[in-house]
Amino acid sequence: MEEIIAIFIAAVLSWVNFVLIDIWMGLPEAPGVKGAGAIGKSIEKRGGDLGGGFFSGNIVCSPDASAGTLLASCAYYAFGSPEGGLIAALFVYFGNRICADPGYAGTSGALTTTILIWLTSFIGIAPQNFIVGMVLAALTIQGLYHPVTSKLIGKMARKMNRKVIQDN
Amino acid sequence: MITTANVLSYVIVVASALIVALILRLPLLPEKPMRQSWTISIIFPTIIIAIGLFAIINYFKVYNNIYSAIIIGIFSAIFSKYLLERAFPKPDLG
Amino acid sequence: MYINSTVIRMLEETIIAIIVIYMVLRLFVTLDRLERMPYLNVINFSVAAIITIQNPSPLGAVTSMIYFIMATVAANAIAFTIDKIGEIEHDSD
Repeated sequence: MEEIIAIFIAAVLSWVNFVLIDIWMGLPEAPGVKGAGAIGKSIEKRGGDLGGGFFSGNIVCSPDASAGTLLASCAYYAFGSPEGGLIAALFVYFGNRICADPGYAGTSGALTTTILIWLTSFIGIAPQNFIVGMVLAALTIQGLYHPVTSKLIGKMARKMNRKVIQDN
Repeated sequence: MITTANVLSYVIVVASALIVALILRLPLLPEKPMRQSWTISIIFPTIIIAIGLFAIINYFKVYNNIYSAIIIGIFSAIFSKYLLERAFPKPDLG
Repeated sequence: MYINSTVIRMLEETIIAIIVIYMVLRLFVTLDRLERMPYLNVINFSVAAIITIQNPSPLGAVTSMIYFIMATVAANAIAFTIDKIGEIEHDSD
């Protein structure tokens, strides 16, 4: 039973971590690559928010803080110490360069996740809870119902002053 | 978990990467707005590469001494100034 | 290294298995190609997670990282191609 509570707390923490870092790094503003723009427009056509659509499209097409969170928790679990998170930050940085992204979002996501896992290890939450928690967080944004979740992301983005850049 | 010897060697790696990068005249921070700039700076990615490479080397306990820390710091500064653009080229924003 | 009891790992593997099966079913019933891309992304996340959970060793972590980055590159190419095909069809009629 404590395991379910631990997975729930880890899911909430990784959701907050990756959504805040991604919105702060400007993912809802513009599509990073062409495919992300297509996904964003298709979400808007189905009744969602364009900024939230660009957010989902950028998550699909390039490693961002969600990839950094997942890979940092995987590496922390496998290596047994925070060094795994540092190795994951290196790999996510190279992955970002391959996918046409400067690389700030993924690396910061990985480093903050490493710090989060190290801090919560003192209250009994283990790294494997963060692995499952991150998959659950990705499910809520990408896999449930795109119009509702994209409107939520759009509202949070406007509150953090990251509106869609109108250049066309 | 985190022993003082380990944290000290990471400080040595960061310090040596910082010193060599300052000698090679890399900028300290990328220009604002930071999230959209492609310039290679000291904080990003030189220190990230230095810490990551040393974490990989730290796993093999044989190379876990001060000499490899200094060498990795120097290598990461040189790599990020000269070889990073060639190995992972900046795409033409398409 | 964390020593896991098999019961705890079974709970996490069950959660990920339910997520994967649900996403695969949603992939089958969705007709819009661009709507399928985020569902594919969730499947990539779960496979990368299960690689490390089943192999709690450095090789498992490195395999998971390389798999996830290559899957993201592939999804990037797929989304770009779907968009390009849409443009070509739109320009031709």
